Amino acid sequence: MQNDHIVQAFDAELQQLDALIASMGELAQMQQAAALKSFLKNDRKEAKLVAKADKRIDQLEQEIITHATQIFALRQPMAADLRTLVASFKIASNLERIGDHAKNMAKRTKRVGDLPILEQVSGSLKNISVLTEKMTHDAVHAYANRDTDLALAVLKQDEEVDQLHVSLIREVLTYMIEDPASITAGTELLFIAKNIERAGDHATNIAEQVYYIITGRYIEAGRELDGAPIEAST
Amino acid sequence: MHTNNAGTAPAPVTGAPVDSALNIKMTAKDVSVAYSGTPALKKVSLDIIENKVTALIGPSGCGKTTFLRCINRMNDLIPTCKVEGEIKLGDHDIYARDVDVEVLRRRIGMVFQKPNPFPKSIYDNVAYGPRIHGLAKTKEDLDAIVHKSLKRAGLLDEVENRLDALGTSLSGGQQQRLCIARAIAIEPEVILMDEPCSALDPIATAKIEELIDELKERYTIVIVTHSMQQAARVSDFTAYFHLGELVEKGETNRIFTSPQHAKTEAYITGRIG
Repeated sequence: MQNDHIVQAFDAELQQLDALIASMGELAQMQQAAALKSFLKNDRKEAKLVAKADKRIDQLEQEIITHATQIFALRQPMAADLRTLVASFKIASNLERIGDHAKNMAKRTKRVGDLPILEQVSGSLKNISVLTEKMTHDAVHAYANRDTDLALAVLKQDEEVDQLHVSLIREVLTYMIEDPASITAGTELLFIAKNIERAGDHATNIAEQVYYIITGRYIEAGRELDGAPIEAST
Repeated sequence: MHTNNAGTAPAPVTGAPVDSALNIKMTAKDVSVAYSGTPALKKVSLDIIENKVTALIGPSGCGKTTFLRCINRMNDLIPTCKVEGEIKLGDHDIYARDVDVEVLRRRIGMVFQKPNPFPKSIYDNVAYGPRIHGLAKTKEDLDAIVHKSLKRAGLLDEVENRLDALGTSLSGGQQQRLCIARAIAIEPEVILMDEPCSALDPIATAKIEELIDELKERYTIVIVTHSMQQAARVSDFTAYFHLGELVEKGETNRIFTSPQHAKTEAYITGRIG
């Protein structure tokens, strides 16, 4: 449906919007991966690069908003085009937040330092972070391919992230109780775990927007807002 | 706009079920029209809701104007035109043998694409209908009707001091509001508008759209428009026609954000014309 407007310039504008969202999504996902790496390896140089690259994500958000606003003004989009435009604002804003969470995680690299507690929870931290990276990847691909099934899969993954988050908190708290010297680092870890969990929430928001673009209906917590069951493979 | 009829593939109805507080003013059932044997409208069924604006949209030749013209039997004027099916105003079949078309058109007024004031004064343009229908007993009554109609059409302030001037001396937008004043002077129940803004600039268009919003408190309005933005702005319900068929009908906000039919989607997003 994207490529067959009578006005071909409109097609080109929508393709440009998709390309911007794809770039932003890819960058946000890379930032998540780099933030985890810098953190686990206590690599401050990498952490600085993550913080710096966040500016590009912010810039892409502005580009998407400007471009989408221009399309609104010029084309007065309707139906699926209208939903795409409306959703693009939210998708850009959620990707920007994912970028922020990656930046925050990288910033904490220097604060946690090379503490033993990090080694103990690194496996759990890695699991949850890799999962949220995948969610970002899937949500952005669900948008690119207008794939309801993939969008719904992201919603499922978020439930897993929430469970992993809860168990990570318990794990960190256990270490903090056992060794009060680890409280400072443990607290940082709790913040980081929260950052990762929030990134998953933002990927979920994007998946919900994708569902809206495709079906015209809103979804929240696995159900449509009017209580109707969700609909796969439209 | 919520009934479907047996025997035809019903157009999908989108949006929430029509509120029970809404009254159906007119009902079209299986309306088919042919010009010299060539079908122009195929078994169209549509309810027109009282005191609401219903927009008829679709590409050129889709039958929307034909359908509009059936509603007050304008197609009777075309000898080669054959209309089948049933259209009711309230409980009355408007195509019944005993229907006086003049009386029908008093109840269902019409505003056309191009403003077409009579080559008479502004006053006489508005007074014409009430005079021929004998709605005013005295000059004072007629004055009151003319003033009231011009006021409701949002034109009184602009022409109050020159009611003797020719209607044709007004600007295009003013002429169209004069035609609306002329239509409402005979107190119709339904007003049909056939692309009423297509010859107007954006400011005059905005005034007519504002007026439509006010008029629906008193009248039921059916509007044919080529501007989807206009349909989206002014109407409560929208019906999409394509090649003589009613493809989809429903609440306007739903039709323009989440149409259910692929043809509607293609048309309103600018993919077929």
